Amino acid sequence: MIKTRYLLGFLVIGAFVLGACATPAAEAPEEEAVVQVDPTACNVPVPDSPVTITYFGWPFEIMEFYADEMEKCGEVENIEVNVQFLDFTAVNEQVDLALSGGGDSPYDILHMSNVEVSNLGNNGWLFPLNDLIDKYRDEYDLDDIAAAAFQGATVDGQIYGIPAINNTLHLAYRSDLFEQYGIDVPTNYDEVIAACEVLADEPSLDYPFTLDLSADWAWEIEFLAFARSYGTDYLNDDLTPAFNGPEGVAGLTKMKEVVDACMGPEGLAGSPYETAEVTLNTGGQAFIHIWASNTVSMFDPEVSDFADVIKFAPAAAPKPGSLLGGSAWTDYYGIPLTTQNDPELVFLIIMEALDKESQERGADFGAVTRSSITKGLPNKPALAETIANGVGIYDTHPAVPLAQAGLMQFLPFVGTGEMTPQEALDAAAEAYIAEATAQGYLP
Amino acid sequence: MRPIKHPIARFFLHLALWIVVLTSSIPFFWTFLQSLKTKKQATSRTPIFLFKPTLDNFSKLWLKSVPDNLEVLAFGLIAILLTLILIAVFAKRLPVSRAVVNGFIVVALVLILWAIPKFVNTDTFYDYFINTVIVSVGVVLVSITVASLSAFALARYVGLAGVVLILLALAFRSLPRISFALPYYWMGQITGLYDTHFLLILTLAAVNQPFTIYILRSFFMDIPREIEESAMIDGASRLGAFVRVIVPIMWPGIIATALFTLVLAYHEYLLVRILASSNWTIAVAMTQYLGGVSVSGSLPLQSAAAVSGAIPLLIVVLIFQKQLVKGLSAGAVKG
Amino acid sequence: MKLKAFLQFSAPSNLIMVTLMIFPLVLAIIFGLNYITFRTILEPVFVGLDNYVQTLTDPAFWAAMRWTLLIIVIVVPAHIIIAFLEALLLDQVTGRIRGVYLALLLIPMIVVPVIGTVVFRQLFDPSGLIGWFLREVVGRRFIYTETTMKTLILLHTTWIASPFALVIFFAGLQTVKQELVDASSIDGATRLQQIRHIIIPHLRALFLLNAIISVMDFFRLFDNVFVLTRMNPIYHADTILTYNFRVAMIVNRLGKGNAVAVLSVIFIMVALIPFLYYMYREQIQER
Repeated sequence: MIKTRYLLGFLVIGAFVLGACATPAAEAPEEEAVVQVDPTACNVPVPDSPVTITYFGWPFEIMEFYADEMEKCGEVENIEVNVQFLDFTAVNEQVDLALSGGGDSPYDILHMSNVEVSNLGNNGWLFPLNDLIDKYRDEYDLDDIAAAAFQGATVDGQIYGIPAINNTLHLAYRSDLFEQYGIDVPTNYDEVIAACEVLADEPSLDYPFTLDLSADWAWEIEFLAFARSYGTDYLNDDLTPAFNGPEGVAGLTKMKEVVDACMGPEGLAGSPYETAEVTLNTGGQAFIHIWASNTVSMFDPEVSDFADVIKFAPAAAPKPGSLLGGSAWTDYYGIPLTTQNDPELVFLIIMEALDKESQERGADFGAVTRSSITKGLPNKPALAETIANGVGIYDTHPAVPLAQAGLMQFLPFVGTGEMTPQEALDAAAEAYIAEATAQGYLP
Repeated sequence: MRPIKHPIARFFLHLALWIVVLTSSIPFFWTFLQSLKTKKQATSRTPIFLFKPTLDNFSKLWLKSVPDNLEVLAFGLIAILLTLILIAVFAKRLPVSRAVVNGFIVVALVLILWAIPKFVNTDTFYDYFINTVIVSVGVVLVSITVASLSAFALARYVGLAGVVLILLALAFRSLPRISFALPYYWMGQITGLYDTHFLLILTLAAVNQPFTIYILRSFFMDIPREIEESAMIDGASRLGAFVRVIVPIMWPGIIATALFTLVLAYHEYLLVRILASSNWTIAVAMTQYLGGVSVSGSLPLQSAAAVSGAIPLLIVVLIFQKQLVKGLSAGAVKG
Repeated sequence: MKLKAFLQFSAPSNLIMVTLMIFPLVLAIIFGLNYITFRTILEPVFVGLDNYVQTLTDPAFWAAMRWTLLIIVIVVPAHIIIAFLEALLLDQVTGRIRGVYLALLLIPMIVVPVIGTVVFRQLFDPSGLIGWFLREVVGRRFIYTETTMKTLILLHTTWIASPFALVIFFAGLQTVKQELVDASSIDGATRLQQIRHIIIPHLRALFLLNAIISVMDFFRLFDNVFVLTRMNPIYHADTILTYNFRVAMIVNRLGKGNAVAVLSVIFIMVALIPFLYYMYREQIQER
């Protein structure tokens, strides 16, 4: 019996080793013979020796489209493209981890939102793209992408990212309910509150309207819009906090008014963007304040019960007549400074995915960045209007994340009434000052 | 414990068991239903229990493109698996020993896993699944072997060194996972073993040692010293006595611990994410479907990922719980 | 067993455990004594015990500690008792069906936690199964308040912790000497007395094991609190590690983060002292 036990042991270990050896770490792509020059294919120069390009980002429709375009470059000889997707928080944690130590970067193409570009750029971990942009400006018509979009990825004059998509927060509403109750599309939050009061007793609804105030970072995003609309920003020029001044308090007070009129303390926790999207699609809400990237399902009858009646409008203005309450977000593609591959090759792969021909096809999936492309999703006008007249982008100064952190700690308490707006903002300012002093931004 | 014979008591017993089983498993069965729905059906405000199921979510997860002869291939695969199951069930009647049968089944499964990509165009999720199998099994083999020896020593040795070892092990285990992030990333880069199966197996085995040692030690303490001592009097070395006498007695305990180690390795998220960039396990890979800020995610796809991850483990548990249920061979452990 | 044999037997395990675990522990201690962010990772600034003092004087830290301790005090006994009862129930079942019951009871442990927790949370969404049930059948919409959130956390933690304890107890029940039970029956012992006087003492070591493992695990509870609360502070449901995430990770203060990690180790070891002492006494007695 001992013999069979050893036999079994050998068999198991052998099978195991076979399995481990037989599975390559990354699979080689199949080579396809491309006979005619295909504008949709990847047209980058063939590198001298085999290279592996790793893409790292989080997935949603338009980004998956871009990633697929980049994967086509794997059909070029000697190039292999690895696409790695994780969720948003995990991607950022990993990138911080990988780039902070200064060693070789495992990633070559980084998908970043403007907040990350700003952070990583400030830390000096990204490859400056100015020279490459100048070199290929004409070939890929980079002037087609708005200069303002590049601005969001620029730190101290160095451009660190190529704009890939535009995003913002705007309104999506049930035009049938609005018609039924005689409501005009709200242009500011006073009108939003009025609409909530009219819709308060509609039996099919959980709540008339929600903003996402379910998480600490969600409060902070909305607060930026309200604060700026009321005329203040996070930090003064000398980096002392400005958000707890009278304008900031006015903005936060207006947020609380909206919460009380439309959501109630109950709606606070139940209002995340994904949930709101589903609830609007299934008839539980009349209108919502949502990301443009979350709206793809709303005009798809395969997903939404109300696809034919959901319409879009620009974000409402927190202060009547002032800036619209949607901040401008752009997602970028960038290259880490410590990439193990030739930055120019990586840049070209990105360019191939963002060229006019690709973005023309990509416009079916999301808001692409080239101005020359006219077609777009049904919410494109609302998106464009909000970006044009909205509160704009986050500052790229490295002290801003510290202000954000302070705000995230205390803003949510305003919703439940545990703190007054002034108290919350003062507490946040205190936390910011402590941290900013410790990190050397304040004396 | 002798079974309760009284019929009314038996009825309440089964009722209680059913309530408990349902609370444990209903969320999973609901998720399974969700994974067979379209996005519209899955997010409906009123839960839908009767619907036309679709395998779209699973094929989106596992396959890059759906081949035309999918049904033929699927039936073929099911036929082969059924044959293996029949072999396993009727092993007694076959002229070869049990061990050979088990070995054959294992080899057959490995060959199937290796051959599947040759027939269908599998997506990266399949590769990640293979990684998961390799890493989990590797961790179990390494961890259990090494930990049983140590746990046995801890159960038998009374002295300061034993206490120190346990304290150190528990101190290691108390460290939050996040503290491992930076040191392990650096370690992976410096040794050049970043993104390899070897590093993953070794690291996960190491991180789980305190847990495994501690549990095995508790099981070993249950066995009286006289058992290996009488084997040693008969001329066996301590190691020999351990392998030949103690281990067979302890088998259900070892199986139970091996199951936990398998589950822990299978579930490991943070360390795999840190130590690998293309060699992920499915615990990491499935998080890409979770959605998040400004990203909708697809509920049925998430459910399909959760179910895909759970089913292999469930099958393993179903196979090995027989060992647990068999109980100790009577007479080996006397009062 | 002599010391030499002990060292020989435990050598392989010690080797991989110490080489791979000592580095993070030492690094955590070093980082905890420094001021470091991701940006300044290669130039740490020594600040002595500053990070520790900041943490220990923060009322939010103690609030998190109180809630973590409450979770431990409630869920550790709860899940152990539930698992023990489940094991007893399961032991009564014979035949193949027992395996199926066991597998179903283990499901909360089998589903990958990163996605399992999200799936669990979604049950309470308006379109989720339990959300629908409460809204339509019971008549009250499910609302996240501090109380409901904390109850949910307690329930979920018990739900995912029970299967492990169940397996341990169940495996242990198989080792109960049937002759002892039969002998006591002949002496007229009732089932309850058998449980109290034979089974529970026999499984003493396993009760202890489950207690120690779960205390250690719940001290480090992070994932389900993170997913369920979305880090919203209005629930006041921060555990030690979510507190750490909130004040150290978001502002990138690695030094502070590691200080909290080291403090967790110290607190856990302190909390385990009575258990370890009991364990040590047990081992002496066995001799």
